[in-house]
Amino acid sequence: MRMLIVVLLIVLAGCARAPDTTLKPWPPQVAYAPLRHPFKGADLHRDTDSAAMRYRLANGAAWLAPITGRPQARWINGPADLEPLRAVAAQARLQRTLPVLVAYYLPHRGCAKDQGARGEAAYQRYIGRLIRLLGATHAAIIMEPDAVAADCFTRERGTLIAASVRRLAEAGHHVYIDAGHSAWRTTGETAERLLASGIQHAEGFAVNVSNRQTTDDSYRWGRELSSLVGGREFVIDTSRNGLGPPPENEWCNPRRQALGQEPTTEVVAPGLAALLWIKRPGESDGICGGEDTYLFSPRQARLLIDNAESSGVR
Amino acid sequence: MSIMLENTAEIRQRVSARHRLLGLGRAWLRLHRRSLLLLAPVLVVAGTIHAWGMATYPRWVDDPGTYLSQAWSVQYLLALSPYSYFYDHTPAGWLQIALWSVLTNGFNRHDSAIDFGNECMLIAKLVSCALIFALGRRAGLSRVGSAAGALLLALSPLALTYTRWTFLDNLVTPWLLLAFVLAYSPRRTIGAAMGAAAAFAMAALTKETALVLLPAFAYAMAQNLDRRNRPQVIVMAAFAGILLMALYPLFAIYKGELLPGQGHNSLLETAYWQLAGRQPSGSALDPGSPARSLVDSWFGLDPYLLVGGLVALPAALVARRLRPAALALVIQWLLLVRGGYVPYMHVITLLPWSALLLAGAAEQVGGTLRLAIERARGARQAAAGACAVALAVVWAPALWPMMTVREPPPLRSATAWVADNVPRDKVLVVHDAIWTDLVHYKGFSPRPIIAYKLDTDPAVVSALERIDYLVVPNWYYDSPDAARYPTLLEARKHAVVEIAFGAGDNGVRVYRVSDFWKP
Repeated sequence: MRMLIVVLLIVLAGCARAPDTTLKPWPPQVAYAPLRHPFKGADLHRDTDSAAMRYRLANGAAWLAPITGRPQARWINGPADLEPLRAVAAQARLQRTLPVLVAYYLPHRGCAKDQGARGEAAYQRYIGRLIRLLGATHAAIIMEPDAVAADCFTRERGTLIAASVRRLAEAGHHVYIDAGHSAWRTTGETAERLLASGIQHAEGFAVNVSNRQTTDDSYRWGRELSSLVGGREFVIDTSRNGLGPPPENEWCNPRRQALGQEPTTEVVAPGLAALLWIKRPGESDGICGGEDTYLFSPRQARLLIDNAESSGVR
Repeated sequence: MSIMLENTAEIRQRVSARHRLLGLGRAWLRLHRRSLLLLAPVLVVAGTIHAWGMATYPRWVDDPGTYLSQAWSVQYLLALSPYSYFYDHTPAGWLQIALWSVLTNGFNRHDSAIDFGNECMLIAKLVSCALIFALGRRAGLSRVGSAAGALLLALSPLALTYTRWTFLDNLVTPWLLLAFVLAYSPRRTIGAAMGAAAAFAMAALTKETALVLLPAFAYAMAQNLDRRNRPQVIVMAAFAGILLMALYPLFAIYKGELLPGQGHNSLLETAYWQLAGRQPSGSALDPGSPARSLVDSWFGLDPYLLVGGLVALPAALVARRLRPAALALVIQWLLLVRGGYVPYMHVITLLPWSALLLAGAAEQVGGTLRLAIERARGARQAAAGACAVALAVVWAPALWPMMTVREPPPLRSATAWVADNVPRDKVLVVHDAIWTDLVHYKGFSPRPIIAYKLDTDPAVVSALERIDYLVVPNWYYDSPDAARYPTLLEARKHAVVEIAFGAGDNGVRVYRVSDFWKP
C-alpha cells in the first residue's frame, strides 16, 4: 500500500512538471539594415532622354504617348552609359524626383563569357563611377537583372553583388536586387541566393524585371520571398505584363504582350514598395520575333500599346 | 505505525513469511556465490562501457524517436501512438518503456527522451548479459565460458553501437534469452515451461519478428522435456504462450482492425506489407544488394563477433545444448540471404547467439587441447576466457572513440535552438528523435509533426494548414529516399535556412518556411 502511494506520488509529480516555454533568442544569423522606404511619397523621375522619346520627336509619333509619358528606369549597361548620368542626377535633384536606375554590367552578364565587365575590378570601378556621378542625388538602383536567378550564379558572384550593394547603400542609394520572377526559381532557392548577395544591406528586391508574369502572381511570389529575407520590400516591373505570360513563357519579343499597370508609388499592399516600369517598353528583347537588334523598335511599342488598349489595360 | 494497530498473529505470520523469503534468498546467494562473484564484475564492465558516452554516440536515427514518442503517448495520452496506431510493430516494447517511465518518473528524470531511451537500453543490456551468462551455464558452459559470452556481447563495438540505440530488438533480446533460460530449467517444472512460453510470447509481443525463432525455441523446449510431465508441460506451455500472444490479434479484432478495409488501419494489411510489400533488400550474398552493404557496414564496426559466431556453428554439433542457439543464429542469417526486406537493426538478432556460440566453441577447442595435453586442467575455461580477452584487446581502439565522442548530436543542438527561438504555437515538421523533447520538455502546441507522417498519415494530411519550420537531418533531403517525403520537399522550396548544426548527412538545418506559403 505504501509502495503504491509512493509510486502515485512520483507519477503525480511527473505530471506536474511544466514544460519550459520561455524564449531566449540567439543573436540572429543575419542582421538586416533598417528599411528606408524611399518610394513612400516619392515622385518618380521622368527621363526625357530615351530612345522612344527621340523617335517620337523625330517622327511626330504622338501615338507613343502611353510609353513616353510614363516614368521608366534608366539602364546603365556599361561605362559608356555612365557619363549622361550627370545630367539625369542634376535634373532629378532640381525636380526632387527619384530616379530609378538599372545596374547591368556584371561579369558574365547573361551567363555569356564576353558580356559585362571584364573582371571584378572593372565592375568595382563601374560601381565607383556610378556613385561619383550620382553625387548627392539618391537613386533607386535595380541591381543586375537575372544575375541572381541565372543558372551561372555562384557564391563568388553573390559576394561581388553583395560588395557592390553595400557600397551603393553606404552612398545613400536604395538597392533592389533583381530576384527573377514567379515562374523561374522557388522562393526558397531565391532567398538563399539573395542572402548570399547581400540582401541584408539592400532595401529589397525586384520582381518580374523584363518579364510578363501577372502583377498578382508577382506580388504573391514577392510576398512569400519577402518573408524569407527579413521582410525586405520589393518592386514589381509592370512595364509589359498587361496580358500576363505569353504561351510557354516565351520571353523574347512575343506576339502576345501588352503594357501593364502604370508605374506608381502609391501602393497599399504590404511588402510592395512600388510598381515600376523597369524594362523600357518598345525596346527589343533581342534578335527574335522579327527584330534584329536590342534597340527601340516602333513595332514592339505599337504591339504593346495596341494590345493594352484592346484588352482594356491602362 | 500501521503495524502497531494490527493483531499479533498477523504480525507473527508476516515476520515468519519475511524470514522464509530472506532464508530462501540467502540460500540462493550461497548456491550461486561463485557465479555472482564472476558475473558482477562482468556486468560492471558491460554497464560502464555501455553507459560511458551513450548520450553522444551513436548518432540519432529515426526509430528510437518513434518508439519513445509512442511510449510517451502511452503514459501521457493513454494511446499507443500520438498518431493512429497502424500495427507497424507489436506494442509491448514501448509499453515496457512506458511502464518503466510510469514507475520511475522516467521522462522527467532526463532532459531528452533519447536519454531516457538510452537508460532503458542500458538496463536491457545488463539483463541480456546476465541472461547470456545464465543460458551459458544451462547450456553446459563453464562459469568462465558463460562470463566470456556475456563479455563478448558487452565489448563488441558492433554490439555496443546497436545495443545503445533504442530499438525494439534490444528489448526482445532479454525476453528471448529468458525464454531459453527457462526452457532449460533443470527442475523441468510446468511452471518453468509456462514461464518460458510466456517469455517467448513477450518477445513476440515486443517485436513480432521474434516469431521466426519459434523453431529454435521449440527445439530447446523439446530437449528439456521429461517423460514424467511431458503432456502437462506441452499443453500448459502452449496455452500460456498462445494466450498471451493472442492478445495482439484480439486487440485488433476489438478495434475492428484485423482485416483490411476502407478508411482504417489493419493488422493483416500491415503484416502483409512488412512481409511482402516492402522494398526487398536483396540477398547478402549478392555484392551489389542493399542487404550486402548493410552487412558490410556491420563488419566495418566489428567483423569478429559475427564471423566468430558463424565459425563457431560446428561447435553446436558436439554440444547438444548449443544446438537451439545455433539454429536461432542460422535462422537469422538465412533471413539475410533470402532476398526479402532486411531492417537496419537486424544485426541485433545475431549478436547474443554469436556471443554464446563463440564462447561455447572456444570451450570446445580448449577441451580438445586438454585431451591432447595431459593434466592441463581448466583448459576449457582458459580458452573461453582468452578468447574474450583477446577480442577485448582487439576491440579497445574501436571502443574508445565510442565512449569519448564530445560533440552533441546535431539534432540535440537544433532542439535547443528551436526551444530558444521559436514561439510555441508554430507548426514544426521534425525528426522522430526530437518530437518527444519538443512536446514534453519544450511545450510545443500544436504538437510538431513527425516528418514521414506528413505524407503517410491521412489524419495529418487532412488537418495540415500551415508549416512554419522544418527540423530534420540533411539525409532527408539528399538521400535517394527523399521522394518519399514530397510535402517536406515542397515546403523546403519555400523556406530558408535559419541556422545549421553539424555537416554532411547527419547535419541539421533549421528551415523557416515563408509566412505566406500554404501546403
